[in-house]
Amino acid sequence: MKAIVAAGLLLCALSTGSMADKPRVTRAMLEQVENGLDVKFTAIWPQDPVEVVGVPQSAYVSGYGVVFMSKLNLAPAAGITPFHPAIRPDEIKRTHDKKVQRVEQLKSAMRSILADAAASLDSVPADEQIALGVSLFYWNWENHDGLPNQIVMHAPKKVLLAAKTGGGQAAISSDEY
Amino acid sequence: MSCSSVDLKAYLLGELPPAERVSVHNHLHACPACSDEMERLDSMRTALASLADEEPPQRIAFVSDKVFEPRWWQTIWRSGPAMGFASAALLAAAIFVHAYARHAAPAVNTAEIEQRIEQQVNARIGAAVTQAVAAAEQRQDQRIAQAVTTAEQRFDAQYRSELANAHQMADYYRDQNARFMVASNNAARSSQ
Repeated sequence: MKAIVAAGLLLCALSTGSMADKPRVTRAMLEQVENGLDVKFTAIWPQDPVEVVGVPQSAYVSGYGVVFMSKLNLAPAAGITPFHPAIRPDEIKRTHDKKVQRVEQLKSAMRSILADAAASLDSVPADEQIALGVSLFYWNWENHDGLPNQIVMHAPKKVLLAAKTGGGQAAISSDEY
Repeated sequence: MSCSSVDLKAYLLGELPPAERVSVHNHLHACPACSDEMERLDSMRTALASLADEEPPQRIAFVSDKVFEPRWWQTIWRSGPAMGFASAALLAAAIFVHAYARHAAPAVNTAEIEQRIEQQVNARIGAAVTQAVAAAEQRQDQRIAQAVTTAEQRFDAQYRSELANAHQMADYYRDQNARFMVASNNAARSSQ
C-alpha cells in the first residue's frame, strides 16, 4: 500500500514539474504578432510603404522575454538589373535622403508596435522584456552615411503597457548599430 | 852678377857678347828665378815661331773703293720701289707655284669618298634608328603591360562588384520568396 501511495506521489510530482517547463508564450501567440508586424510597418507610410524583406522572426526566451526581428527597406528602389544596369548619383542621393527622413518616424512606430505587442502577449510576465529589432536593408550601391544598420528597442512589459496608456515612453531603451 | 843686371831677352836672341853670354849662362844655373823666367821666354819664342808667316796687305782700301759699293740685294733692300717690285714678283711667283702645285696634286676619287661617307652615314643612321625603334618598342611594351594590368584590375573590381550585387539580389529574392511562401501558407491555413 505504501508503495502504491509513493508511486502516486511521484507521478504527481513529475506531472507538476513537466507543466512548469512548458513555455508560457506559445508559438501561435508569437505568430500572431509577427503577422501584424508587416501590416504595421507598411502602414507607417501607406502611400509609399516600406518594404518588409523576408519573414519576421520571433522567439521567447524563458526568464528574459520575447524578441521580434524584422528586416525593412525604408525606401524601396530599383536594384541593378539588366534593364537598369547603373544607378545614377541622383538616385543614390534621393534614396539616402528619403531613408534619413524616415528613420525617426520608424523609431516612433517601433515604440507603438512594442506597446501593442505587450498588450497582446498576456502570458508574458510583467517584469520580462519585450524587444523589437529592425535590420535596415541597403543595396550595395547605397550611401549609408548617417544611417544605422539595426535599431533595437526593448523594455519590460509593464513599462510598455504604461506607455500605451500614455506615459513611460522615455523608459524604452533604444540602441542603434 | 845680380838678377837685375841680366838681360835675358838678349841672351835668348843670341845678341850678347861671348863673355857676357858665359856669365849669364852661369847665372842661370845658379839662380832659379832667372832660370824660370828664361824658360817662359823660351816657350813664348817657340810658340811665336810655330805661327805661319802671313803676307801683310799690299795697301789700305778706301771708302770710295769698289769693295765698299752696296751689292745688288742691298740696293733693292734700300730702295722702296725696287723692294715693292720685288715683293710683287715674289707674290706672283708664289701664286704661280701654288696654282701649279694645286693642279699637280693627285686626283681624288670623289665617288669613292662619297660612297664611303654614304656608307658610314647609313650605318650610323641605321644604328640610331635601330636603337630608337628598340627604345620605342620597350616603352610601348611597358605601356601595354601597364594598360593590361590596369584593365585587369578594373575588370576584376567590376567583376567583384557585379558578383556582390548579384549575390545581394539573390539573397533579396530568396527572402522575398520565403516571405510569399509564408504568407501563402498562412492564407491556406486560415481558409481551412
